[in-house]
Amino acid sequence: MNTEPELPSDMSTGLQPERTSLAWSRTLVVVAAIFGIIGVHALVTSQPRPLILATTAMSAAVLVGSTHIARRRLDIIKRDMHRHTAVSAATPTIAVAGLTSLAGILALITIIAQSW
Amino acid sequence: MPHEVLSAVSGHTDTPGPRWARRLLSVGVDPDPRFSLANERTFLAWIRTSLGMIALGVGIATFVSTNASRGFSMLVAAILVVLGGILGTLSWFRWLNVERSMRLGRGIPPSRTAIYLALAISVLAVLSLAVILTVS
Repeated sequence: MNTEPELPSDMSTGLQPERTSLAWSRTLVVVAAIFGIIGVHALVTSQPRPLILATTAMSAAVLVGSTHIARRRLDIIKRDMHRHTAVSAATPTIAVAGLTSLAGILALITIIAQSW
Repeated sequence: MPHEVLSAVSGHTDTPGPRWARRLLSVGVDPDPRFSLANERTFLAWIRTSLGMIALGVGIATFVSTNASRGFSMLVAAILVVLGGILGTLSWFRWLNVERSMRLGRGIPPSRTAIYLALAISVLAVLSLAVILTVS
C-alpha cells in the first residue's frame, strides 16, 4: 500500500528553483571575484592600464548584475514550470561559460606579460 | 496528462529560448524539470571548479618570490589558467550532452573530463612537491 501523500503538481519540484537560483548567485560572485583577482594581479605587476580597467569594470558589472541575474533566472524557471514547458538554460549557461573562458584568456595574458 | 506524454503524442517539443538553442535541443521529449535543474547546477559547479583553477594560477603567479622556482611557478600558473579556461568551455558541452541524453531517454553519459582533470591536478601536485623539495 502506498502511504506517501501526493503533492500538487506545483510542489513537485520543491525548493529546486531556489537552489538553482542560489547556485547562480554564488557562481556569479565567484566570476566577479576572479576578474577582481586578475585586475589586482595586473595592478601589482604594473601591466597596461586598459587591462586593469577592463578587468575591474568586468568585476564590478558582474557583481552588480549577479543579484538581478539570479532573481531573473528564478522568475524564468518558475514561469516555465508554471507553463509546463521545458526549463531551458542554453543562453545563460553559454554566457557564463564564455565569461569563464574570457577570464582564463585574460589571466593567461597577464601571466605571459609578467614573464616578459 | 503529463507534459512528456503530451510532447511525445504531438511529436514536438516546445523548448523555450532562442532559435539556436531550440535547434540544439530539438530532440526527444522534454525531461522532468527537476533533472534539467540538477543538470544546470552541476554545470555551475563545473564552472566554479574552472574558476578556482584560474584563481589558483593567478595566485601562484602573483606570489611567486624565489628566483630558483620562478620559471616553474610561472609554468604551473599558465597551465592552471589554460586548463581552467578550457574546462569552462567543456562544461557547457557537457551540459548540452547531458541535456540531449535526458531528452532522448538515454542514460547520463560518463564524464571523461573529470578523469583527465584529476590526472592533470595529480601530475601538477607531484611536480610542485618535487620542486618545493628541491628548492628547500
